[in-house]
Amino acid sequence: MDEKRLLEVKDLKVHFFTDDGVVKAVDGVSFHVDKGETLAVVGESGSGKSVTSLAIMRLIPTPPGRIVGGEVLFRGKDGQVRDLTKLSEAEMRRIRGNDIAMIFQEPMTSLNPVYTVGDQIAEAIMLHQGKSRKEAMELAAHMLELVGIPEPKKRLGNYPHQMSGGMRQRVMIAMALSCNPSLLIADEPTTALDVTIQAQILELMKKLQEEIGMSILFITHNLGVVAEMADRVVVMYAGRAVEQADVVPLFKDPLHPYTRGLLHSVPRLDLAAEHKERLEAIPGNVPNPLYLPSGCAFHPRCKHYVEGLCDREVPPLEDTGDGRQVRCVRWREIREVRA
Amino acid sequence: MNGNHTLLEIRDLKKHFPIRGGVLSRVVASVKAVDGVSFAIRRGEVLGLVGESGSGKTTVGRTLLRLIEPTGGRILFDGQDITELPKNALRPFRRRMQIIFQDPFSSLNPRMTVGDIIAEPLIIHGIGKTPQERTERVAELLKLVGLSPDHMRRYPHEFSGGQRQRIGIARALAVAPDFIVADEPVSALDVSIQAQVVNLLQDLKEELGLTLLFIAHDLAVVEYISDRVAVMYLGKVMELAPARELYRNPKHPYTEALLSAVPIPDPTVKRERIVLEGDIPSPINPPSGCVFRTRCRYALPECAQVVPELKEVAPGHYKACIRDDIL
Amino acid sequence: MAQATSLRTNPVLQRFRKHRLAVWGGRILLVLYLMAAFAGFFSPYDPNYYELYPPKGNHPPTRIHFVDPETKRLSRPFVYATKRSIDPVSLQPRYEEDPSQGKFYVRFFVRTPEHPYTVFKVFRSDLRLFGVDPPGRIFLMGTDNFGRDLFSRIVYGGQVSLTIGILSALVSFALGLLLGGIAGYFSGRPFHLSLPPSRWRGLGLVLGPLSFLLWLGLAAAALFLALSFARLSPGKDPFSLGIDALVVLLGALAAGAILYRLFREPIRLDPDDLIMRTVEIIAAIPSLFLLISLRAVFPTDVDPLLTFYLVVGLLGFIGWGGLARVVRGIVLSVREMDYVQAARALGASDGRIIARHVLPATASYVIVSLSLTIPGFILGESGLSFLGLGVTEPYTSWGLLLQAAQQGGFASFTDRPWVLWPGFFIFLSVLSWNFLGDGLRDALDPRRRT
Repeated sequence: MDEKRLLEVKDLKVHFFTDDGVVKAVDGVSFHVDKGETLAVVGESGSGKSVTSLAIMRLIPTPPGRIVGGEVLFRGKDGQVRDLTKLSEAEMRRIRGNDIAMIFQEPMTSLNPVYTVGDQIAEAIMLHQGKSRKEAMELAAHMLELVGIPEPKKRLGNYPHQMSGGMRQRVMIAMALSCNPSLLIADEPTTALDVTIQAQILELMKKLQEEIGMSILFITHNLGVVAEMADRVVVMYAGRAVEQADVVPLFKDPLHPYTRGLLHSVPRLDLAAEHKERLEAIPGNVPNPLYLPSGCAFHPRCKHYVEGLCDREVPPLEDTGDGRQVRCVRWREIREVRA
Repeated sequence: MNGNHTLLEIRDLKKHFPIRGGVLSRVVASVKAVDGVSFAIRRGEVLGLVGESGSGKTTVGRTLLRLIEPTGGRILFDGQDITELPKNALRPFRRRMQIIFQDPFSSLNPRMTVGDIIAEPLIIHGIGKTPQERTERVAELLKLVGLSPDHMRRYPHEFSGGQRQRIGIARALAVAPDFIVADEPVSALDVSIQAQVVNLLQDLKEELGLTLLFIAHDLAVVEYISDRVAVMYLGKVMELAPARELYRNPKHPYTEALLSAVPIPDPTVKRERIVLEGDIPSPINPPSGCVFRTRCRYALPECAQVVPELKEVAPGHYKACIRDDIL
Repeated sequence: MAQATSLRTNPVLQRFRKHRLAVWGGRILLVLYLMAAFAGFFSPYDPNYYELYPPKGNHPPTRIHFVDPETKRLSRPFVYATKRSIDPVSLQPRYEEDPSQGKFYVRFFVRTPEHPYTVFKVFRSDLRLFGVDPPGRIFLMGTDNFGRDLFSRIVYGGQVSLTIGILSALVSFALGLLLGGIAGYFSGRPFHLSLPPSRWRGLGLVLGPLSFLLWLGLAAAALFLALSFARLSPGKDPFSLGIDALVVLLGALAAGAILYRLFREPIRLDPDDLIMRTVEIIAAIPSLFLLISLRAVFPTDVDPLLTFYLVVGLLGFIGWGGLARVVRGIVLSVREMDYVQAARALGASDGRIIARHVLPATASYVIVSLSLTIPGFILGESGLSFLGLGVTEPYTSWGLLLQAAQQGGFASFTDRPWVLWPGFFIFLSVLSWNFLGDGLRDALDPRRRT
């Protein structure tokens, strides 16, 4: 693995074996995260973006889910590269929290309501760094200060329900960063928050990344947040990556029809008023993961769909030559037509 | 505002939820969810109501439909005061005012078929005498919201979020209402589906001449559908203006901060962002004077003393702020 | 996600079918209940019929022959008559086959005009599924100490044992649903028990004064009680005088409080509080003790079966608390669902909302809970009969049969193991109900739904 690579996911497949059939939640996803960069994984419900992040942490509920294929190569703090899918549960526990930390969408349910905030942060520190309780508590207070919680010493004794949603998410971030992880997986960390609080949390994450230098794998459905946070973007649809590019070219010149549709269907505050008469919606519904359309899963909703071409085989993820990847057989034609 | 064209008006609407405590469960405090809200909606108009969680926007919507009993103030529908109408007298108004909910999963009874769900309002109000007539009407409504009449025999769990939201809209339209409260109708939906539902509501509004109160926390969505927008904070209206005007030229510091906090889906746009400090105060014990002053970067000592009135600062543009020298 | 599911492929039914134990439980219960319902048809003998001579007490199960011992060929099933002798050591009766009387073929759909029976106490009949011609006898599961056919008694005993559970469960469930539903749905909507005079308008013009009369009566009663106490207490010493004064003061205070409240604001009562406090009180009643006392209270000349049904019915009457509490919880949460709000916004009446939206939400819980409660009552019946509090002769039940089996001590089980058959039936039915309940829970549990 390249020296600057921190994480490399290769052809990851996660399937869920349910009573009604096999759900291919993630079906051959590849991407990488470099040191210090922020990779955003964008997708709607059922796209497999959250399952991907859980698979990296080996937190897929088994049964019904299972990682059925692929590799997750990760460079640990010790410089050694390991395939996370092959590690034992004990080895994986050492990685979790210590090398890779995770924050979730719902800060209410991801904190234990019966322990104080201080206890929960200190526990993580004691577990991974072998510090005494007193040292751990001091570090916890320091972490709370770092994430911008006023009166951190006093707040250590608070229970989660005594805090607001934004505060709880700050606590989650403090807890995640307390062991100095090299990768932070943020699974829709601001979705449950109000816009003004979301702005605070995003600012905080950017500031902390600058200070600490960790990489962030940012899972979200909000394109505005992506534009603000990401260096590179992976767009997922129905369990597969459909496009991968640096953030600016992706927003300027989306290649995949789904990416394009998504960008156009989002209401925007920054456009001039005359563009705001009507939203360009993507027709149809998000497909049921149990019954995915044949060929390109997006073809029933795609305006560039050609019968016999798009609905036969799953298109390959093609390199476009300028460091981007796209999974569409017609991307060249579509690009030309637009140009 | 011209009284002839006003369909719905609320005056100084208040809803305080009591908090009981102690052995005798006495009222020890109250949550001032809505604390003196006034506005009027003209016939055929879409009023957007924007606010963060805890601003009381949902309570306003439910209170003006009398799903929650108001603590104070008046609700006038088509010129008639319905604030204290008893249940029976309210029934004809129920036919004229409807609601669409946020959560497409909890707003449909999972044990009823789609046909039964949409036919229920017809039965309640005696529209369509025979089952055949009702079935025809249900089929018509399903087509109207972009679903197929074949969907009638299915159960809600067989549909995706966007389709369920369409079913909820069909139920609300069944009684042919004049006025609909759309309570965050798209915020639980996927991005690509949100646009579909917003467009559907826009089409229906044109086609059926509906009047809408569109409640949302997403400022961008509201702009597309609303004629005028009201911004709420902690139970009070901060600013009310025609949509274009409000977005281009916000006059209230809160609106300004709110607009700047929305991330723009374009990595090349760099804006100055006003990050509001701290959290929304508790509505049990809101700040004195202007409720926004604790987070306002323009706040003066006077802001703690006076509760600012919602006053007209430009034609049709109202704001509740004592500082006229800013923005 | 609009894949069609019609009634044919009802997901609940499909999930239930996947639970094979539950399906078998259901089938076994169906057979058991059919046997109990048509007990006369399925039993070869009247449950109370026995012969004085020759006695057949403690007869082992009759052996049914399929092979003719003379020709060594398969034959129609037949039995031999038996000869009774007394074991000289244990003094227990012994029965030996007596081929000299000839073969008695097992016949199906026989008529026994000398022993008619009734179905559901209405239709008279004498058709039985199987039997042999006298003097041959067919005792599938042996006889009891009087010589009554145990199989026939088990079939009849099922009538009591299997229905008692359903009866009391239905009583308690009807009450639990009704009261739990009211408590949940009307929680936070207290009704008025009085109106202050300022609000005597409309209907209040009648109800107001009426309620006043009631409360004034209560106030007067409090005063009267206090005064009577003072008048009746004989003591003249300062201590008892002090007590008297205190009681009168308390009475006056109570009356005063009522009057003060009465005129100032309406006295209101939340049905939720009322019902849930009642549940708590009922839960504190020791039910076995109550049952024994109730049993003792009923006169002995009343039909003992009727008494038993009444007593267990009463058990159901006090057993609704747990269910009411759960139903209240479900209703409280459903009440806040958006689809209930939608119905309210459409102008639906409370009755319609309860019937269409609220009660159906409790259905899956109620069905499951019902199928898991009934086996408890079946076990309860056998326990009560064992204690002698249940069904008494000449009626029979599985519990009573089991109690009869243990008369004779340990020897009865070793010498006459067939007397344990009723226990097997209790075991089978309880297990089947539990499996059925388990399967229903898995099939109906919304948490499993995707």
